[in-house]
Amino acid sequence: MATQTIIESPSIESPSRVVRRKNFSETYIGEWITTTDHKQLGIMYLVTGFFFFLVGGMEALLIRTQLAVPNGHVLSPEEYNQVFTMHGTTMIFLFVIPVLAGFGNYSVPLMLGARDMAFPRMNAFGYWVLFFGGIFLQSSFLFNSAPNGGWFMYAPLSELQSGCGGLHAVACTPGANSDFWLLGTLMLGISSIAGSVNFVVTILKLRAPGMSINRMPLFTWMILVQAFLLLFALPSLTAASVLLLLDRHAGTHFYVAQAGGDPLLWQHLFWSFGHPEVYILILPAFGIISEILPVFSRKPIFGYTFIAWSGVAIGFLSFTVWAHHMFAVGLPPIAQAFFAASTTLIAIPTAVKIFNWIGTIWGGKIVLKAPMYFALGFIAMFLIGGLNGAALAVVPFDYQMTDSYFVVSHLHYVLFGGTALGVFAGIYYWFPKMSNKYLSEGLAQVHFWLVLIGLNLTFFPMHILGLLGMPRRYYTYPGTVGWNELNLLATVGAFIIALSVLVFMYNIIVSLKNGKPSGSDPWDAFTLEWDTTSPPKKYNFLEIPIVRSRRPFYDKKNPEIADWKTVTH
Amino acid sequence: MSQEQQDQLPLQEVATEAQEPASAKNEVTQDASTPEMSAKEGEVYIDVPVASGKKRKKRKFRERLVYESEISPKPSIWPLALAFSVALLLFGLIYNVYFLGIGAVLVLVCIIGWVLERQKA
Repeated sequence: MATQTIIESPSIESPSRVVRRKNFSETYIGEWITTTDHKQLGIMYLVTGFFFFLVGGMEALLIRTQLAVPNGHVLSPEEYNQVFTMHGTTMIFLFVIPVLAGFGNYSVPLMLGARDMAFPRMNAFGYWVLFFGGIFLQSSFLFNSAPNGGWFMYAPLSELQSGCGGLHAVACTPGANSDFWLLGTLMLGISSIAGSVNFVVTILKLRAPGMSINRMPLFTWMILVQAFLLLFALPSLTAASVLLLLDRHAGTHFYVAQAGGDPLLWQHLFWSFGHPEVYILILPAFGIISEILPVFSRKPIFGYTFIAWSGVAIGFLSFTVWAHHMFAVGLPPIAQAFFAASTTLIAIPTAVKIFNWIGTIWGGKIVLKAPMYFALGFIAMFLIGGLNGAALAVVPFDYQMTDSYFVVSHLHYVLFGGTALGVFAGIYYWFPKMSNKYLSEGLAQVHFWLVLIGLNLTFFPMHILGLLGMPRRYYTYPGTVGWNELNLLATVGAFIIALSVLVFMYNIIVSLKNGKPSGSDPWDAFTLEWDTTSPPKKYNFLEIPIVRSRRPFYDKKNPEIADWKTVTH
Repeated sequence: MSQEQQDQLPLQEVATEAQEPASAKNEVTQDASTPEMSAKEGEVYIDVPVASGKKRKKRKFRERLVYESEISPKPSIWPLALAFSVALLLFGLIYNVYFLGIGAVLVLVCIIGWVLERQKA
């Protein structure tokens, strides 16, 4: 067996010592710009993701302000279309995916006992493509050409005027609006592919000795499944986008019915990316929660194998449910039955996870710190999002609710109540590792309660608005249809969420400056990322650890009662 | 041999051979007298490996001492440059054929630069 021990610098007696000027890559700015270190890139992903979270959040506030009262005119109808399209696009492609990639980049190699990702340069390339892709998409506002066809850019609405004249009362999408969306998401797709290949190879090839696949931390399991989902789902979006670009600029008519094309082709291609995408956005959050709950319940995760393999099951099933977004387009009954059944089926592995999380908490010595608050909030909110999602799998109900605010409520309970709370949990959990500082617990709890109240005030009334018949994406509404109070409530809730985000940002800034030093293992955690300094050195580990159980750091700290002595796995 | 039995082997080796106290954390404690700490601002010392492939008689496995820079990924400007070039190329596709041309040339330059840097490394 060969091992490597790291020396930080040559000894004083080194005979071959030479002095030279700093390279650009050794200056402060140059180091960040040229870095290929997974931890720096992880932090860059996180910072970029949160920047775009603020952008998307401001777009959300504009939408809610517009809808706060009937007959609102805060935005023009054209601006409103652009803002809601960019809100969805920004939150999905520029906030959630980058932030989850940030956690993955930062934590996965550390959790695996690896020194870096498998392809560090490609990792950096993935980040920078995302960065410029984000600027590319948002710059469309400067050219007064922001995408305006909704975040799923349905054809033939997104076609040029020449391709769809007569189909719509308004010209379809002249100008570069759709082009910005198509090319921007193409760039973000390149970034995701680069990141996914890197994660797959890193997880499969760079695990520490003894870390068999069934000893990997659950977060790395979920990142692995997410990476495969991205690799298999993105090609269909890319194909759809290229066809639409050809329609717009090369005179083809893939999506134009009058010319022999099929507008439903876009929906099939988009949603065969779009539904796996939902799980791409939630699975790593499942992983974060599965790391936090055992640590703060002071016991091993309950049903590790079930959590891991239910993630894989969700991954497979996510490719079989796409047409539940399309029940109302007139699918044949057999297709409706199939997609209703598969959508109901996917609730099973998801519910398995929730039972396992409850089983983990059950009987544990619960430590109620900020990460645990957010993890518990995640379970409750995701459960609501999951249940109303299962309701939407019922075809007759979906007929009534499709494209209404009920759907908006469902997706926000999943993606904000679920993923965003998971992301916040992850920030509170790993921030001490990244900075060697605790975040203020008091401010964290203010943040938690504000965000929990805010999100329920915003999104719960949307259920009722949907049931009352308010369609999504409407610019405004008359004051006589009974939607006034619920819309106002949702707007108040949105501003409470905004306040909670300000508290969070203040907490980050204050804690970075004056936070209490956390040390390397502030939570008495179980996995390898805590078995090194905070923040970790560039090489991560002085010696690559040897793993004998699912809780290698717990074993190291408790050699007498190590898991590998008592548990066989 | 079961996974459990396999796990026992390296542990026994470590248990019998570890004569130096193990560091509490997986880190190097830095001596203030090292050249890196005493370097003037604007200057750094190149770390040159002085001990590699070192064998210890009492150990059954070889331990090679390496410097951080040996195993750390090297910094590179090409990922950023290539990403910018791709963005410029796509922007040109929408707005201006000149940007498209410049972007395409830059993409080629960046790919070549990336490959050459790899070969040099």
